[in-house]
Amino acid sequence: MTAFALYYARSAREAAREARKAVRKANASEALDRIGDTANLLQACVENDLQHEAVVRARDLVSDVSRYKLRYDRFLDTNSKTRLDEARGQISVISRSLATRGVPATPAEKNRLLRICHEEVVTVLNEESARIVAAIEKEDE
Amino acid sequence: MPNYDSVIDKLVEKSEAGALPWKPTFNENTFLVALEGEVTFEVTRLEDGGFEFTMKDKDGKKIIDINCHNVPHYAEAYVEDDRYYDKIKRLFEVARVIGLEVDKKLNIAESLLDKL
Repeated sequence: MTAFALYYARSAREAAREARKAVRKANASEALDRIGDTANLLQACVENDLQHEAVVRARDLVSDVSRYKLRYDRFLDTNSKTRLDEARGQISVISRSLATRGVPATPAEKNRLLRICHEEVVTVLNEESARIVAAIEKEDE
Repeated sequence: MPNYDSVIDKLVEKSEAGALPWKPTFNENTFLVALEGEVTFEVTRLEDGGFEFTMKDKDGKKIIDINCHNVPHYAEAYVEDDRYYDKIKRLFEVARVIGLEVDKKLNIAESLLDKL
């Protein structure tokens, strides 16, 4: 093999590695965007008193968090897994409450539900996603 | 039916020792705690005075699901889960105290009252 061929083989390998890294990072961001969209839909349903739709979205969110945890398991440390379990638990309680009691009647209760959704789920997932992207970058260095 | 006494006893013991960070939820009568990304415990006081206790695994599957009421064992309405009533009631109370930071708030209330 000539030095010329070796050089191109290395470049191709490098390009393939970069492409893989970009795809993994894009996938992690895409998965998070999807969860963010579901959380926004849930918020809209609660604000518009759409009980049935809100229950479906809350259940979607529980499934999304489970899938997310499973998919990025190897990038998550114990603390991250615990936070995701707590987030799933919080949404699960909201889901059951929406199913049995309906959308909260008072603005204060609605705000409390939306605050929990935001603080305990969306914020946690944002932080964990940033960690996952950083871990993917670090792994490929 | 598996015996859940051992895990519930340990949960109560560790909770009373302050080792478990129980958290409040949207339902004011439900508290949860996740451990090491492996298991999640949830305890709820039901509207009919009973209690519900669940343990889920890391995939969110229910491993323990107890629904108990204060029914004596000789009563016709007695079901197997009711034997856990006293323990789950105690667990709920300690989870509530931790989750709502009851001790801290009582101290604040006492301090404020002392100032009057």
